[in-house]
Amino acid sequence: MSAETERHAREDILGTLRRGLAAAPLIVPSPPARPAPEPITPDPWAKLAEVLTPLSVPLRLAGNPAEAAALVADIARERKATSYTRWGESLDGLGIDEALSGLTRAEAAPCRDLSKIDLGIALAHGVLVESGTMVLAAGPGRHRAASLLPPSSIILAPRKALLEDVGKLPELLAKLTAGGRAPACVNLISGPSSTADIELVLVRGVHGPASLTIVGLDWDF
Amino acid sequence: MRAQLFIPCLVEDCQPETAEAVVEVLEHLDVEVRHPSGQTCCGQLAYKTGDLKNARRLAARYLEIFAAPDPVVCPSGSCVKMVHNYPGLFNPDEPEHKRAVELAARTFEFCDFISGLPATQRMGAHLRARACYHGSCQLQGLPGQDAPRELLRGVRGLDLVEAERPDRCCGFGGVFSLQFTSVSEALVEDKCREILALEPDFVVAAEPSCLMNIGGHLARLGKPLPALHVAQVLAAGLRKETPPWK
Amino acid sequence: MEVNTQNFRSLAERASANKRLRGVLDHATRHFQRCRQASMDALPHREEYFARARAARFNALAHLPELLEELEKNATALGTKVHWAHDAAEARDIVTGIAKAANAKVIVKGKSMITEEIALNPALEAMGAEVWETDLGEFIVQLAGEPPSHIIAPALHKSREDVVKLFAEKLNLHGEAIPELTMLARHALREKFLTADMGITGANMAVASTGSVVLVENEGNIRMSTTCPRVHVAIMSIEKVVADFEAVADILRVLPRSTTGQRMSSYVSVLTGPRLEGETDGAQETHIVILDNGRSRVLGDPELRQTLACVRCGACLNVCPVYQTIGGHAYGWIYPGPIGALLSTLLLPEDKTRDLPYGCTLCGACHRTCPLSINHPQALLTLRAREKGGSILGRAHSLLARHPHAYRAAVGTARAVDPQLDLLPRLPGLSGLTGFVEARRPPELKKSFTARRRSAAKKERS
Repeated sequence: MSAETERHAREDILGTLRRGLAAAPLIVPSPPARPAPEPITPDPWAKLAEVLTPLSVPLRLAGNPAEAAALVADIARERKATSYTRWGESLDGLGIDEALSGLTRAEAAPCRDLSKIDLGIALAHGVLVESGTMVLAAGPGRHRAASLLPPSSIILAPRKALLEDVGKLPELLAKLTAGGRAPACVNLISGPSSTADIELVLVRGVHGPASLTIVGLDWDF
Repeated sequence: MRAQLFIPCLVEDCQPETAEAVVEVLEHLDVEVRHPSGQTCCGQLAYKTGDLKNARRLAARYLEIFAAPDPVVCPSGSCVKMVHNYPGLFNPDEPEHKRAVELAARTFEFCDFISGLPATQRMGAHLRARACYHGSCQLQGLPGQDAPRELLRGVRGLDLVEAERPDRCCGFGGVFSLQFTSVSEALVEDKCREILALEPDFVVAAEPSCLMNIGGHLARLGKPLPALHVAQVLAAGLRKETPPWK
Repeated sequence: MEVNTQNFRSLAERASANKRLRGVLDHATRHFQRCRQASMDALPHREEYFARARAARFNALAHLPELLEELEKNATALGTKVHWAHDAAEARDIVTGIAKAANAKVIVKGKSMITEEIALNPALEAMGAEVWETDLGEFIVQLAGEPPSHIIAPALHKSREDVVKLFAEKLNLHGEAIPELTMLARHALREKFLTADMGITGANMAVASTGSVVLVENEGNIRMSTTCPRVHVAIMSIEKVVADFEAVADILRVLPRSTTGQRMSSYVSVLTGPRLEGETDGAQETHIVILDNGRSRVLGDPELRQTLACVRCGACLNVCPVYQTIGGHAYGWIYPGPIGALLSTLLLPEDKTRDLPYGCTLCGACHRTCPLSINHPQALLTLRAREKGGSILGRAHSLLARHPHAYRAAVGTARAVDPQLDLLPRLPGLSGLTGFVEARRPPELKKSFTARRRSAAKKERS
């Protein structure tokens, strides 16, 4: 369609909207303040586990990098993974590659090249405890496919990323954008891929991962 | 205390027993009842079929009929709701508008009205029967929508049960039942099945049109279970005699 | 899809006689209601959250033109191409134009009502592209050649057996159990995601302050559609824009809960422009198509613009006794239930939608359930009134009701001639009464309350 027609559509639409609102102004009463979130202290991990359990998402806690790497290796074994892909830089230094030395690592790559990988490992920039939501900001070395294509997904959740609920999302997104461009993709992940489209029977793993495990990093990562 | 009776057209000619029960209960509660003449239809049918012109005309009549300042009491949630809609039928600068606002503020559904009377607490109704309550959707959103339940719970001896989905529409919907007869029938079928499953002695509700719909279908099913207005149950409870429908 | 709303009444009447369909609908709508109720019961400060979501939506409507401009400016600055379309035909032209330019051979789609509204698939297929619906339910109805029957569960009307047969016939894939069937779809569609050149989705929200598109789902097919192909096109109707992420947060608080009872859907994607330098996945070319299709007119209508606040949670369908009885297809277009009756009437030509505002008992369950307090029955009444409403029966009744003596005389005559109202259905214009009377013993005309009161008073006096 010509740019001309589109420009015309734009002017028409905006014009009709303006005229309509001018003729019949829409006054919206101010809403109440957003209620204070339920506190997640003193034990945010326990709160998080409580939310994740009904979603069939296990939460495992690591007290240090070595424990975290060992947990990742345990999960890989349980899932019978022979290959994995993980976020780069941000997860270097945890010793994951050493712990998974028996597995093939696939670097970040276009989807086609990652379609046969068994396990993906990524990091949460924020965790909304109330809904069990992992907030992942994609970027260079933080590929979206890592938490999407492999049938098994591990998301590492640092203690300092724990936030109360979705009310904290605007602040978190602003932080992720600070001093530059917003991430092109932020994923909020709250459980494994699921569907109930046939006779309302719940099935996990329809397009995304069937299994999701959260590894809590219980130190100042 | 004085009150003006607002009797829906359906009650006037098809369910006069309900109106009589309303009077009986109100008088028992020391309310002096007047029944202003000239009542026909409050305009609900016109309003709900989109005929606002006639709805306005009929509303204007009712503003006259109930011009006296006493509260207006009506045994139908949908008719009360209609009066609550009156202000919207007139422009704020029309004289009728102010009167409509005033009338709406003193028009009460029967159960809601008597719930607010001190004497109701000591009414002492007694009736040994099993009643299935249908919470008409037309009462939802009105002040005192749970008043019928509360009043029935106060009747000693009454085993009050509620159908599986007590507040689900019985499928009447005025013109809906004439234009979508099969859909409407399917809904009243559901409603009656859920009521009959509880094996009550009668169905009770605070909405005459639901009672007509449910009672009419039960009759067609060959299960002539009485469909009674809350006022009838209260009145029977006050008389303390075994009613014919037990 | 073909518009069939002009046959709403007969479709509804027929559907209500379909016992199997009623069973399916009963099971499904109760399931959704249970899930929703449980999650709402567990939500503290529910009323405050509802009020905030309402304010977020209505504030967006109050500032719609400015927000759309801001969205355009911010999205364009990031490299997203923003398009505007008056109507379905223009939107189709825009999308097929993008597909042609991108030389798109395989196109994957995320579930979206808006692409159904503009009948996009046939247009893309006509240009030789392979188009795949990738939401499992949409995939099933696409294979069956049917429209979706519920906003959030498109294949609600299909049984497992139906799907077994469909997969065997159309895909030569054989499975029995539901998890097995689901995995067959996973494998078939995974192939398509990996080869697709273009992904098309709707948008649950667009964020003016950042130029982002927000997509909410559970399956991951929308993530796949926006992560794997080189090109992503998001199609949104004008009212989907909100001011900022504060608004997004307020809406996300109630949307999943109201839809499926989840605290949050499995996946919420916030997409802001094309992939960054150094990223290995995500679309490199991003488009937002802003579609009007009659909505801008509705915004100027103080009584009906509340319809534009809808976030498509589907809760009003699940509580509607009529939807529960007739299902989605009977509504004759893509939007079913209370919100569908409203949207279709507002978006389609007048002569095709006359019956839609009447397919409602005005019970108000939808209004009470809507997280945004849209008053569907009130809006339907407005539409009835606009349509120069009134039935013959209604007008005759009103005429009599204005003249109490004539009214009393008419009722008196009826009582004398036909106290059981047996003859009524035979009167011209009252044929609808036949069905009514078959299902119910009609009310009997008795001695009126006024007459009884008069006799009683007389007796007392004597």
